Amino acid sequence: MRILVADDDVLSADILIASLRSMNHEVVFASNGGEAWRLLQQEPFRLVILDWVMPEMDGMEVCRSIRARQANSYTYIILLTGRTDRKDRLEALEGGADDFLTKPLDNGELVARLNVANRILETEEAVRRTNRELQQARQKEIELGATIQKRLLYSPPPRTTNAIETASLSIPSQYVDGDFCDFFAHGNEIVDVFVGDVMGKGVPAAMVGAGVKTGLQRCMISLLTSAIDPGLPSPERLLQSLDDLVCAELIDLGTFLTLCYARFDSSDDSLTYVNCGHPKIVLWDSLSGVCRLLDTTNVPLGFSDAESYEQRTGRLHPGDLVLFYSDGVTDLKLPNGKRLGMKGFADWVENRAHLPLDEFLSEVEQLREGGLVGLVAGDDFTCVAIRYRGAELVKDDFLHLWADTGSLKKVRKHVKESARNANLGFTDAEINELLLAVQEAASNAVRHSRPGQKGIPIKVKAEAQNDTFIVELRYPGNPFDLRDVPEPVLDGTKEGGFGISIIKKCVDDVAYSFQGDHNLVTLKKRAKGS
Amino acid sequence: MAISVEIVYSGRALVLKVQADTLETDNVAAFRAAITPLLDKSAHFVIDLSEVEFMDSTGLGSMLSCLRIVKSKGGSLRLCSLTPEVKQLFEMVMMDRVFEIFDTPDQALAK
Repeated sequence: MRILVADDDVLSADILIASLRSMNHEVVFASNGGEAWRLLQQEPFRLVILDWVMPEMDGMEVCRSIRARQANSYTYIILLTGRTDRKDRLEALEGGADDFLTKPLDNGELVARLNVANRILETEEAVRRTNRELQQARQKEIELGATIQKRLLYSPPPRTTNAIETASLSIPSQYVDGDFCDFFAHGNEIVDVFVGDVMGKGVPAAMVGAGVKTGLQRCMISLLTSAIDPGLPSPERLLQSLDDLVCAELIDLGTFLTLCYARFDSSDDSLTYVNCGHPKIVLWDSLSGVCRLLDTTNVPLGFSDAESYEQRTGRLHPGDLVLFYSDGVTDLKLPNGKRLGMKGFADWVENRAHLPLDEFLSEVEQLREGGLVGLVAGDDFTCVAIRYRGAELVKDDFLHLWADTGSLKKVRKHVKESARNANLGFTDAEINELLLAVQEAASNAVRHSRPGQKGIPIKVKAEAQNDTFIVELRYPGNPFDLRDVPEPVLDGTKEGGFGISIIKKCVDDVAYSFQGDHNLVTLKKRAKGS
Repeated sequence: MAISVEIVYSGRALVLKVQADTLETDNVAAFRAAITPLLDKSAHFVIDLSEVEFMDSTGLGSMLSCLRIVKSKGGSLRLCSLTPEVKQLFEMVMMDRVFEIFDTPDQALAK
């Protein structure tokens, strides 16, 4: 062993060093306390023998300095002293000394004291090794938990179905926990989304989350193929079935979870949900541009084994934004020190809900970065954003769609097909005029009815009435008055201002009106041959 | 929506072909971004619109913008190969009087 010996009495030091070397120890010598402390800062000696009385720093000062520092391994300290006073020795032990050697030195005693030191250092090393191994095992468990969470708990959303467009943001905390999220797509028209959060953290929470998620899948399959009443179960029936399966076990385990289960059905534009204690769904209505928080319907699973599940249903419009999120979002701190909360989040969403989903989620990410200042990143941060697209099919004679500039083509296609099918004898040039008028009217709606927003819900009706083809566009936002539009400049000096003039030239009649909560544009065109 | 502008002939004038089936609200910004750097490469241009089956007022505005840029440098800009739909739009707002329009790139270059 490498031993540091510090003694200002050269003669006594020589004897000690000679004895230690004869026992095959390597010795480093310091002639005073200050030198010993400097050497100790360069090399972490495991065994130090210090004379009590020395210049610069005495043995006790060095001893206290060693104990005060942070070190990766233990330093065993033996004090050399002529003092046999009980009080002195107690003071030395309190100051951090492990043992004493009495001057003048007795070789037998030295051997015995070194054996004790060796035993203690070996034990200390073994404890340290075990701790390290435990820590590695724990780290491995955390990594395993993170994998469970990533692979089993977070299913990737269907990027688009006919009914919804989905994007999600999930930033795991430094701990593993039981947040989970999954989707069931039932054909093209119906998509179920569910998100959950198990109480507690760590692998146990992740395992419970994985268990519940699997349980939900089992319930779905068993209800779909049930002998008594087969078919797609309602969310409340599904939750009741899940409750029967897992609630008693959750109570036994002493845990519970919050769960929100929602169904988007584009065949009747409905959202049906059950929310068991999860943060309230934020629903941004694309017609009014206002956010609402949808009420919670039930207590968390595992609270009560006599819970009766109750679902709620609401109407959706193309373009509505629906958000599911974890309490990591609502726990964010605002610059004024207050918690963001559900209402605060909904208010924040209102001004950004029209953004494309990816842009919206990057704003959410920035909100998180801003809100984490001075806050421990303790919670998983999850936000699942769903843009309801609706069927984008002709229903009730209307084409419903969430129109951004990229979907104007769909409007033209719908009008073109309807005009051809009407058999009013339109020439190709007349059809083109109709399309130009529709394009200008719809493009104006998208660009100007809600300034700054990139999309709006539009309903398009295109049909023949007697010899006239009529196109109606309905959409929310600012009313528009035809009389406010100046005549276009036709000498090429102005790049814009042609839109309304084009509409007027392309159709026989154009009318703009405001119908209580939406704009109505009516375009009428007759085939010239008729 | 993908849009590109290609130089298909380079002589006394550059012939630029718009590679997109529409020029409208949705892709007009991309069109402006694609064509603007090309307008530094010559003084005289012919824009071939044979691929463009539909154009709206914003597309028309971007054509006027190109014309203004080229004319401000003392150059010229001609259009050729308009589809019937696009020709109809130009005539409707009398832009056929503002632009020199030809049936083919060769005719545009010949004059």
